Amino acid sequence: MRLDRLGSSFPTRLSFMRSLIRQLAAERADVTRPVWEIDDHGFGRAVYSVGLLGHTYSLVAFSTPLAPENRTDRVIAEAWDSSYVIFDGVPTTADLDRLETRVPTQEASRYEDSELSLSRANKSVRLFERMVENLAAGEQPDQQMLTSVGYLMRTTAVYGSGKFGTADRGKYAGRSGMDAPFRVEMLSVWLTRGFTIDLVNHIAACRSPETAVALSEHLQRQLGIGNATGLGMAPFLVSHPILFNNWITARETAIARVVAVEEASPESITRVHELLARARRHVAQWRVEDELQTARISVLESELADVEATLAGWFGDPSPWARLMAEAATWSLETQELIAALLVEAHPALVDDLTAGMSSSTPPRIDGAMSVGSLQEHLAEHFGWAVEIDFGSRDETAQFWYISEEKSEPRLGLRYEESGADLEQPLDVGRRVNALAGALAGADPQESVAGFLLAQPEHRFAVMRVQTVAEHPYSEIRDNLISDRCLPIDMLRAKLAMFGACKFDPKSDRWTRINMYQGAPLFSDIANPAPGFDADDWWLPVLEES
Amino acid sequence: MICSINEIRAVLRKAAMGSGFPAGLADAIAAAGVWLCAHGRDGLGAVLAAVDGGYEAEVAVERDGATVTFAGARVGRCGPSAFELIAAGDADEVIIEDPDSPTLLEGMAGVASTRTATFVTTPTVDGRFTVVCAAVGEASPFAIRTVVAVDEEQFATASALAARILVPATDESRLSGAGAGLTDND
Repeated sequence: MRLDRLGSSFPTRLSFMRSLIRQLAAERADVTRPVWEIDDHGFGRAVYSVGLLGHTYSLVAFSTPLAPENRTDRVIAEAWDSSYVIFDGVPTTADLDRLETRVPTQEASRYEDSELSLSRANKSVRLFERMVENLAAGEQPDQQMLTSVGYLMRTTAVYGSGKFGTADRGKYAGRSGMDAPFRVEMLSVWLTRGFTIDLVNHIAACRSPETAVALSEHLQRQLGIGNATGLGMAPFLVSHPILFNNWITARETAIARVVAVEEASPESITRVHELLARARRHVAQWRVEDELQTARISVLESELADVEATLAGWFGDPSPWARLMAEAATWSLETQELIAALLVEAHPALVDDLTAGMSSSTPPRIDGAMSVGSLQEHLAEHFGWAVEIDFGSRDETAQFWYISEEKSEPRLGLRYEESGADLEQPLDVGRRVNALAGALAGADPQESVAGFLLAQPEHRFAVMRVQTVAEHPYSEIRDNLISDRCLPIDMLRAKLAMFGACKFDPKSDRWTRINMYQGAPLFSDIANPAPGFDADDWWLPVLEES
Repeated sequence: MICSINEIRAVLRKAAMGSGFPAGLADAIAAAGVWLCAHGRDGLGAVLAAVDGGYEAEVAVERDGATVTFAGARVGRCGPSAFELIAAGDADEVIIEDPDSPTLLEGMAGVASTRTATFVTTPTVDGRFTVVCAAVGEASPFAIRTVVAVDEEQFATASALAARILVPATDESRLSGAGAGLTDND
């Protein structure tokens, strides 16, 4: 996978939010609210509990006052409008009292293994207060205003996997329904979305009990949870090569299965038409300030019209999806990736089982018995792109990844202008493999990798990457991540799309906002769905007038 | 102090890197420390003993037939190689003289054993440790403890070593390094 393709990713039905909602819907999971201790101004604590296949998980939410000057989406923030944990089970009052002293401080506190995730969210100032005013006055909020933001709060970090003393993923990953990647984190965000809606309704009702109305369910569904994502997500894709491989493998397998369909069924043809129309409306509503992304969206809009015109003539021909994917090669990467996601969306029976293979708990390992000659062959096959790069060039080494002493915030520096490159993080995989290739050139091809590494242990990291990609072909981003052309935003978008996010709104080349769960079912839609309601039909949501 | 396994892995890896070990060896050292912690052993102490003196690339290696000897060996440097040489068939046994962290060697044996064979490290009266492959076959599964009690002082020492890889903040890096502003009141 190349960076620019990753940076054009769209959510698919394999995305983690989608698979979670399918699971909850299949179980008709019932979300309850056993604790609501929120004052008239919206501050206090609340608990939402949901049962899933024999276990109960609770979102414990704290809402606290926040001075405007302290409201930042950065990791370096020290206070937030709201903070959360997913608690394993239903918390007692003693648990809540303990958590109330800690959760609002986030990273500054320690947690126990009863806490499965830790997160926080800040209000969208422009939407939250306006919506309270509207509802308090007995009016539904303006659709245009809601559409322009799309969420009441945005999360700024969702920590899992043992951070700050919370439970390791190993504690719950073996439970039925919890094996998917980021399952707890995705559950946390969905429950948080429900909390934000309850909160705005509550404040409005307290402010004007006689006139207030609740936000309509139609508009509730159009609200997601925002998210501000920075560089912290990018190193994850590099430091979890087998997991990354499994995500991309599932995606590529899904596309391959659809492309192999020789004769499209009338149902799938109808579905593709519907989804294409939806995609065009979604893209028409996708508006951002970033000039580069705006230009890409403009091209996408234009090309989607071409797609519709192109398809009209040969839907009934043999292997139409293979032909469509072949035609897509002439369009932009955004269009190619949207078409791929669309075709996957239209074929649930063909692809949904693939979500079962997207986890990994296996760390990469060195195979010391491999010969140097075999290692060279693998390197040539999978890292030819890295061998060809001139790492003596300043352009190819312009950037370096590092961790700041400020709350361990991941950052990207300019190697030849800033200090700190001596503490560079090993995201320069291409450069390291390039150096390994040079070292291997002088080694005996019959020698074992074990012998080679005994003499040259500095290449151990690169050897592991080469051996890993030989078994897991999608484990590497095949681009130079320290060149002056590397745009970290591409890595962020790839991971966020895998989560299921949409409406990517880049704020720089290393920072983006997104929307999660927009269009997704509400709590009541899962527990008591209306006749004919499809909890799985919210790919690329379209905001519609009620 | 209660820590998660993932937390221990992260701090040990960074501590090894902060002590000067290359990334690949730091991964191996952290994995061995985690294996020890997951089995109720002093993984932090074992890693600290191995990384405390910093990293030295040079290692004295002697070969005598199928026996390889590391003299005055740093376990963080030569430990992974001991198991890989045996797994590769390059040696039947590896002798490690005067290892700085025998416990970490056991952790590395545990990690290595989970894949292809069961490795054993045996101390001898003269301060040597012998590494052999005792059997080839199914290895015991990796023990997972989700709650690990660690010594607070050791954790603080490891954290201090880990902090060596952090880059001091400047006004410039605060503004440009993460590509985002400092307030978000929109």
